[in-house]
Amino acid sequence: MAVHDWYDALPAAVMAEVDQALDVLSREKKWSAPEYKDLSGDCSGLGEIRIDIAQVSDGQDEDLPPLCFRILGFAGPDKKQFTLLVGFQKITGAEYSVECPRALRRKKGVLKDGSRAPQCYFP
Amino acid sequence: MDHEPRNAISHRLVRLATKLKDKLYRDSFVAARCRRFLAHQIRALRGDMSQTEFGKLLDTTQSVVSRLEDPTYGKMTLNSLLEVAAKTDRALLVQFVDWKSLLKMVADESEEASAPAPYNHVDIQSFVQAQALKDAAVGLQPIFYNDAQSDILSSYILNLDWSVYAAASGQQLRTSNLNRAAFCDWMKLRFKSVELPGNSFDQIVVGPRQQQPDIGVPDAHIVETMQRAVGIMQ
Repeated sequence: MAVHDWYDALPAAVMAEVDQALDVLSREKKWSAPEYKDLSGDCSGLGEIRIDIAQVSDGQDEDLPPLCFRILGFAGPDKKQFTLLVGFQKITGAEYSVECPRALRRKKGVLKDGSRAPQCYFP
Repeated sequence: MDHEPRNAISHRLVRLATKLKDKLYRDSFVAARCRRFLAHQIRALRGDMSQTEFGKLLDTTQSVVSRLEDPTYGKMTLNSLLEVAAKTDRALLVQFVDWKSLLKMVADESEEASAPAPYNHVDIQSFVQAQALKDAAVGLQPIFYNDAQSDILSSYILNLDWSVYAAASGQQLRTSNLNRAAFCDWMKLRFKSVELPGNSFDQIVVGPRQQQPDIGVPDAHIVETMQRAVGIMQ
């Protein structure tokens, strides 16, 4: 699923969080944790935008764990650009073994042919 | 590409306006905006300081700073925000706004929007003066009713490289000849380079030097303001 298809299928509440996270990142001179992390190992060459969303606990004593969404991408191809490649919900962490190779394949395609990653606007 | 297209902001706003039709999106957008933008601002206000150093400035700990900067935290209190505002000498505004106002804020991508400047008396004074003159220029309020106020006009005209023109056009002003003469003298005193055709002029136009106004068809608001000012200066 292309990253925009993933984005368009998000529930409205999650989409709003993604929009705001991307808006804030676009204002940051230097991207860093907690919203961004350079990946290593099998995901080397990629970075991830981290969007954690706190869940309302509905009166329960303990806070529920946040919902974690990740967008894999890379800085480029030009200056001051970041290309979004793959979006997914992180549940166990095992998702990276599928999503990183997919993102790396797409990165290769974008670097070969920039028109495969048209400019997009958020929110 | 280094820069976004010039229409990028409006493009974003069009998309956002479409999404805002959805009530669930609207509610989530406001919540996400508050949490994430505040966290972003606090991080921006910290600048090059470490969280520990910033914590010292705020009389608090590094872990509290870390929480304030956490975009998912969302439990910061009004008091803690007021404390950050006071310690960093920034203004804080918490208020309900209409959606158009929110869109304007979202569209503001300036650095000042992220990290607003601390209090600066000179800046405030300049802003107030400029605002007063802006009001005067649209005829909302005559502002140079004494020497102190005429100094403001003077600095406004000089700072903005504005020019003063006066001409006879055959139109009648409602002010008396005496008032016009007083204003003319005052202008001559302050702006030696200004050429005023004696006391016979009946229009005065103030405008940018680069875009010299058509003296024959002056801006009605400016003329009205000048008329009022001439009346007040007697």
